[in-house]
Amino acid sequence: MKKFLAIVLCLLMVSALFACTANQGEQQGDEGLNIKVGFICLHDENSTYDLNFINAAKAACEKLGIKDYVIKTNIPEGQECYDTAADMADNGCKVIFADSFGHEDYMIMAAKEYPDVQFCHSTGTKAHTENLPNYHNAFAAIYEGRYLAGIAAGMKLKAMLDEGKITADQLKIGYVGAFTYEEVVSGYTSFFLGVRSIVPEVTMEVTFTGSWYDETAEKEGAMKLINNGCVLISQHADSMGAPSACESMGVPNVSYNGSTIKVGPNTYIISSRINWEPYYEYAITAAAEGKAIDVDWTGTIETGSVELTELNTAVAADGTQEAIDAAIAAMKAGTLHVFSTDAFTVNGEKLDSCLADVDTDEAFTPDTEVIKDGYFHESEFRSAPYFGLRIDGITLLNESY
Amino acid sequence: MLHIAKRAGIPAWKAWLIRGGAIVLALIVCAIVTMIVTGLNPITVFKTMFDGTLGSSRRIWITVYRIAILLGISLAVTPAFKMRFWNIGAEGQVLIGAFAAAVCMFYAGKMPFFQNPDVPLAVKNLIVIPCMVIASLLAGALWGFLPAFFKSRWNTNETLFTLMMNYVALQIVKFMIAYRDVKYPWSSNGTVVGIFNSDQKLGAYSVGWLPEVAGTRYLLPAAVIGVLTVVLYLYLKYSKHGYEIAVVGESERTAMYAGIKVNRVIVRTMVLSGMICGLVGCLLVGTDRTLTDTLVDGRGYTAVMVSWMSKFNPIGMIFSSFLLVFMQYGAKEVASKPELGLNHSFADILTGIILFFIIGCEFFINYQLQFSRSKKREV
Repeated sequence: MKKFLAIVLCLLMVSALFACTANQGEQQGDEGLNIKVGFICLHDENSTYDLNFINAAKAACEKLGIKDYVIKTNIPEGQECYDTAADMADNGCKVIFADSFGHEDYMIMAAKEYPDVQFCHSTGTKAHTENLPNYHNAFAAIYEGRYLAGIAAGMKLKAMLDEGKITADQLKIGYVGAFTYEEVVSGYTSFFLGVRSIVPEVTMEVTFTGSWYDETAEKEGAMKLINNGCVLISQHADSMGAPSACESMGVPNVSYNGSTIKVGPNTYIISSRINWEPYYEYAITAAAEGKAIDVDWTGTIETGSVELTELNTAVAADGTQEAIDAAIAAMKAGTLHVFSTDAFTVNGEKLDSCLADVDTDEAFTPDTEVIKDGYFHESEFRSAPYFGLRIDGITLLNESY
Repeated sequence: MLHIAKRAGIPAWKAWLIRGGAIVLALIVCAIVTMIVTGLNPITVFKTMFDGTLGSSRRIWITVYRIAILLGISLAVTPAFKMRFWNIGAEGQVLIGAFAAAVCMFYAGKMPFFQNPDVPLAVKNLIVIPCMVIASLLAGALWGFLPAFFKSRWNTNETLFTLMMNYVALQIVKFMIAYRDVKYPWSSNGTVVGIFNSDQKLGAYSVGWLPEVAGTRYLLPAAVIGVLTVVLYLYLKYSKHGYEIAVVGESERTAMYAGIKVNRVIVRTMVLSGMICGLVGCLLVGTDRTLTDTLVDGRGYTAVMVSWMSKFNPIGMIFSSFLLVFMQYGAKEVASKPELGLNHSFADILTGIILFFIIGCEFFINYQLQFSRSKKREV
């Protein structure tokens, strides 16, 4: 038996040696930026949220000709994030990105330890109060994208009214959110305002799942809204739960994070998403050239950070694209502000002042006046959203999250 | 012809030789699979794994810390396994221990005494850290006691019971993280707490953090687990309790006949298991300085494998823990290199191959293959 084993072992070792000789030539391009970059992701490609970041990271590095980069996936929002960031810095990374809100404290910790390395954190809120020269936040003015997607939804509602599929008293839409935090509130409010700019009589119901990714809860949430009489659904959570519920019930859906047309060919209208590639390109280039990176960087439609994906003409109403283009032109011209105080009321009253919690503290104290010149200045005092107003016309079904 | 016979016994060196051979064989199979499936040089892949776990002093420390935590949990489940009490609740026991420690750390940071900058940090920590330890020991003990008590009283199924307790602990932690307490909310967006007492401007800064020893925060937990390993080895091997555990494991009836109070041993051992888990939870929170629902990250289940692979021998567990940590985090490093073009799943495949060989080799330790030689003589 021993002999048999020995022979097998020898054979395998020889074949392994041969394996080693089949060498992979590593190509190192001379062109492109000479800088090492690290990316930290909460999950891997199986999460739509992280996939969006991973694709952007790869695209940005390819565009800038960077060969030397690392992407670490499945890094939890704990000590491991600091360990990973510090390890990347040890290994010569000069710019390090992290993609999840909970990575922030750990990125700050690493930033303090490595002053020569730039730490860029997407979706965070603390850069403008930490005052570290090498720690930066980034987000996108996604509320503008939501508003535009809302226009597409409004056009669809109007078409349904005109065709007699629904009556004016059925004008109610639904929204599945993750948590009752500002990012979500800002998202559903801007979506609703977009819809209402087309159909002024519309109301909306919002339900929360208490998780960023919970397919069952999102599906159930969408079903509940549909059973409540909502005739169109949108969502802010990362699974296919809501789109697939809409498809099975034949209810039009406005999606998020990218097209979900595969799940809902007969119901998907349009989706808004954040494209992180422009930010990655900007920050990496700035770091390579030794220029300062913005403390808070907010991507917009112009920078290519806010995107609308794939209008499904089979479902969307005629003239949707034209309506969206007109709105984009108005935004660029500065004549259209999503959170114009003329567009919404809180408890029946128009607002002329509002203090938002821009500087993060433990008690969520409002600290900054954000209504000026007749509109709510979202994502200007810091990149992450802080619109937390509960406006009239939207009913929250549960607020426990 | 070939037939299989149970070995009467095998010298330790031979057993270890077989295990070593299995690892070598596993690496070779991994190399072949890597080459066939990806066309990459397998040496590059292994080198990357080595580099990822032992490539710098920081990486070595992190690896040591991870080994310590996995080893600690494996130690915790061992007494119960030796007793044939199928405790798969380590995940929950660690998490609830971590939670108890986190509660102490979090609310201490809100108290005026701890916020007073005039009180030295050492004094504050002398109060908070023992509280954290005691709280997590108690919490872990409770999580161990409940299934053992029900088992001894009503003969409930301990596997299901301990498994369910994991979910209870997980949901408690999730609830607290997401719960928006009006006065002291744990998290700002419902998913993460962040680092406890991390605001340098406040007097409660760094209260409850386990102290750094010799410039690294990872030495203290590693040392604690090191001591624990020795203590548990002695406890299982030389103490009366350890002997009782072994007898109950062999046969409950024999134990009863010998006058051992089986139910008492079961409850006592599970409380011990739970307490060790709780302590590990405390080390995790004190070192990581945060609480997340992924803090334990499945290590409560991996520990079951570690314990089994080492035949419940605490010293052997050091090696098994090292191997599993090396594989898991080496794999992560492989997945992080875009030039290799591999993702995490491929690394998992390699881990799977290696585990298959390691677990499979136990077969060759317990059984032997006999090639019948009689035929040759007949010819």
